[in-house]
Amino acid sequence: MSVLARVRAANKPGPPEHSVVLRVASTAAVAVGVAACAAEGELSVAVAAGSIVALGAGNLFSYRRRTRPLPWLKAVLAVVAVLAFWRFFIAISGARGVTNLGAVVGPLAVLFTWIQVTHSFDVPSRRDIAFSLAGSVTLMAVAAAQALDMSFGLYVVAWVACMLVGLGSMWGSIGGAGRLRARTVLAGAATLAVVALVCVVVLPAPSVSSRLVFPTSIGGDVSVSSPAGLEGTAQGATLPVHAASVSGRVDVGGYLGFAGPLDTAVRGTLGNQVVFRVRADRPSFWVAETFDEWDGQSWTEVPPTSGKQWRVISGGSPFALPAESGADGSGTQDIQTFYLVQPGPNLIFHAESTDQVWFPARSIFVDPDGNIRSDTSMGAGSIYTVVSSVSTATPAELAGASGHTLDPVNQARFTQLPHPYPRVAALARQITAHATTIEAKVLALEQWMGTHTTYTTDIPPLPRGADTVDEFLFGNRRGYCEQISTSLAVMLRTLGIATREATGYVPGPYNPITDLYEVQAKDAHAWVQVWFPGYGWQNFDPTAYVPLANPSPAVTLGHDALGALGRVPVVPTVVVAAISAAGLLFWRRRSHTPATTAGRVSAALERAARRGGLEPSAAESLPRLAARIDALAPPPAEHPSAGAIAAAAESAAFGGRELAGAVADRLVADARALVRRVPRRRRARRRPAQPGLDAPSASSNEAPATSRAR
Amino acid sequence: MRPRGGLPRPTKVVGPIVGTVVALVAFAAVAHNSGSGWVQAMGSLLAGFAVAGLGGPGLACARLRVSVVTNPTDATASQPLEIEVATTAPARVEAVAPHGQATTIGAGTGRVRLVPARRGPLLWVTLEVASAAPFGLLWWHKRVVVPLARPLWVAPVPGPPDAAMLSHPTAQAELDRHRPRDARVGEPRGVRPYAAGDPQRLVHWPATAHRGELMVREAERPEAAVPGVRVVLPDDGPEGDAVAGRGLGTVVTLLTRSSPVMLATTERDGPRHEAVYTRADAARRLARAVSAGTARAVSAGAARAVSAGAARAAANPEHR
Repeated sequence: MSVLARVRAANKPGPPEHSVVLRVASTAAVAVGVAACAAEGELSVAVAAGSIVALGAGNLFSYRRRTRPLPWLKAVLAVVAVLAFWRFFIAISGARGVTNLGAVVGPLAVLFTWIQVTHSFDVPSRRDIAFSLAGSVTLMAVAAAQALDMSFGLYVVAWVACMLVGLGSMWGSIGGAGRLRARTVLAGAATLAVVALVCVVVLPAPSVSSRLVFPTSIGGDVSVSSPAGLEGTAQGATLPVHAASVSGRVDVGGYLGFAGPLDTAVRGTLGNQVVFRVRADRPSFWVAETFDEWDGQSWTEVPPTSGKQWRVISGGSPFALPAESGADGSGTQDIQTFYLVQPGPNLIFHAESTDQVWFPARSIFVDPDGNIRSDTSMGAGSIYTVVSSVSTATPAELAGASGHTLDPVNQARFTQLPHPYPRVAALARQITAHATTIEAKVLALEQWMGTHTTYTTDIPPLPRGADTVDEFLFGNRRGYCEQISTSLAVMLRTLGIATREATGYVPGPYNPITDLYEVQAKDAHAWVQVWFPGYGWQNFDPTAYVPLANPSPAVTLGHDALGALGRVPVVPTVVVAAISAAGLLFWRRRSHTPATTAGRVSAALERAARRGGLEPSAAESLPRLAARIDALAPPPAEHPSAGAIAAAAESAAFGGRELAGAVADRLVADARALVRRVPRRRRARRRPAQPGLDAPSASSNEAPATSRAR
Repeated sequence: MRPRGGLPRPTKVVGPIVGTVVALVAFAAVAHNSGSGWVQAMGSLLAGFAVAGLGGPGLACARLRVSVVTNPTDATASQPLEIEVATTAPARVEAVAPHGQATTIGAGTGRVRLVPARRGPLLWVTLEVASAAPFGLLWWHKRVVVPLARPLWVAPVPGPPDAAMLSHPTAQAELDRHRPRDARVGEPRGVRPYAAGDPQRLVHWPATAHRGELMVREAERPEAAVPGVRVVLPDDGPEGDAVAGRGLGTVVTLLTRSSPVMLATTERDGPRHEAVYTRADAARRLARAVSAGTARAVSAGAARAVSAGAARAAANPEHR
């Protein structure tokens, strides 16, 4: 067959498809894909709505013309498809090559939508409908690439339902069953669910390629009034007007600490709202600010006049940041992409030592301590990416840390104390008496605080003029992350160890489906950073636990499942399960119990026969079975024989009149007593029948010789 | 006898598997380069659809059961006929031996066309059943040998009459000696008492009620001799089929002039020399005919089996 003939044979239209359910399901699957793309911002609402209407109209036209397709229609649709491809290539030619996924996904969604809409006008046969179903997969994949939260799951569920109905209808049409078979769909759905769950659990979490151009966008820009100044949301930053307020709403990123000073005497209300989502290879502390000067109640950053200068990095995204002095550059690269859900200050969160920042701005500000600020505040929907070097130093390596130490100016800055803290110093020396290295001293202090302090957010107000550390360590020893971390920092500073306070967020719960850390307002945290010669600033958190690597989906799902099970109330669940099981057993017993007296007596006699090792035959009458039972176990004088019971049952069955209540009950009771009376014996095995000499062989294709056709 | 079948196998599996692998690799590449968890989740769902769509039909095909519900009792070689087949699930059924056309049976029963190539008795058919449940993405098929609901006698293709097959005519009295008097031919003569072997439909009920004993109708019997045809098959292959076809053509030609015709053939249990009254009778007789060599082999095998059974009985008296 020539190539042209093969092409013609491949494009030969198949028989027209008459199944309406199949067409509706395929149209719905494509419509769900278009809607999903619109929900992720890849299509405008108008384009999506128009496309869905056009899909319906096209499929209706195809259904009406399925037996008489228009010959010139394919040519017209082919021209439209070529135009769509041309438009797509023009759209992506302005992007930074195909490595800029964000610039490709939108035009890709438009292209696939165009193709599906044009294709919908020429769908006469089953093969064309299958192409539509396959096209819906591509639309959903394009939408999934931009999906960040679990709301996308609604579209996935709807799409899966449409696919199951569509594919099940396709088999119904192929197999000639005509209608959609529920059992077929359920079997397919069960297999799909099991395989998908296994894949999600077994496959490792996806990681971001470093060769890509990362997405960036800014939502709501309020320019910073002063260089490197900290600005809040577009509504402006506010702080509580009085100290020791344990409640009160703040607008600065939902956390009080994201302000110029960190006042340990006050705490904002931290709720469950998601502040931002992070895609990262590993969980880390998301650092917002670091503080170096402690005044007994608040942490502040040393102003620029003291030699600390904010550096302006211009030139546009990506911004390359200078390496932090003192660190040897070890560690692994980690790429974090932040998707802001709530408006936030002009703080660029990052994990540890930052090398590169992808941010849609003209310039950013960086201080020698590694704090990063943008020149504009960030509204909801802002996206930026940070490439960091995350420390992988082990405790043993930190214990043997040596090398470049801080210069005297910085050493003095990071060991600064407002007053000598004699009691704190004595306590720190006592705790670390046996520790010889910085790492050992830090761990000793952390362990002491873990056993001698209590975490709680319900603390009394700090008295005016009192010192937070003295009040915490030598008072009630009750506090939250700010008191605990500040106390640790002060104790380390009394030992001459360079320490600073850091604020930001803990990683937050990991979602194995979206592969994002969902950081909530309540995840705001304060911890300590300690300087190690040769390794730089290392995080130490006396109040929170940070895992060492991205949890596998299996671990996360299992942990979530166990957590959900743990929250299930035991007693009510057991009671409901017991009642349900009893009800099910009662219903099964009732449905299998014969309704008539004769039926119940017959069932009892069969049980008695089996108990005695006799096998009731289907062709055996009840009196004959009863005779065999009596022969096996003759009845005592005071009990009726099986034969008498069987005779009474047969009389009731064929006499045309059911026995009276008491008589029937008595008869059934006698039959059941008979069951208990028959001695239990093992059923005899039946010998297999010998094959007859004249039995037809399996290979013979002729009738047996004994039969003669007439 | 229960149907016998082989293991299900996929049909044209390369294309669907290659396409599935390509799609899954593309999903994995996008997921593991963009870091998007939802893309990986979608790929997992796609893998589920692939497993159900490509592997599910194998299980459906393995569970598929086929049986022949009804079939005709007579057919002619090289002529199509239809049998009614029942399946436990929607499937595509095609007759393989004898060959035939594929039929899709949606639910319950359907008719399958087959064309027997050779004459002879047909007790089994080989069917190829295929299923693509639950999604119709890939067909799996298996072959099943299914017994027919009742024996099918395939007559040879009628050939030209062969005068060499004519044998000595048989006198009518001789015919009557071997068969009960039959009133299917001749002018009606009256009624007579019932004799053993008379067809039930010949009973004359008014006469029976009048006489108080069973009475049957009787017709004038022509006194002309019954023509005879002897068909000797050289073998049980195509040459024997051709000879049988000529024999059938000869008998059919004679039957157009008179009925019955004495037909002498050899069957598995020995020679048979009996009258045939219709074309169907002749066709069935010639469907059962075998060559002399086959008849001798069958009788020798039967004799050996009988002697073996006798020997066992002699050795083990309690098994008699």
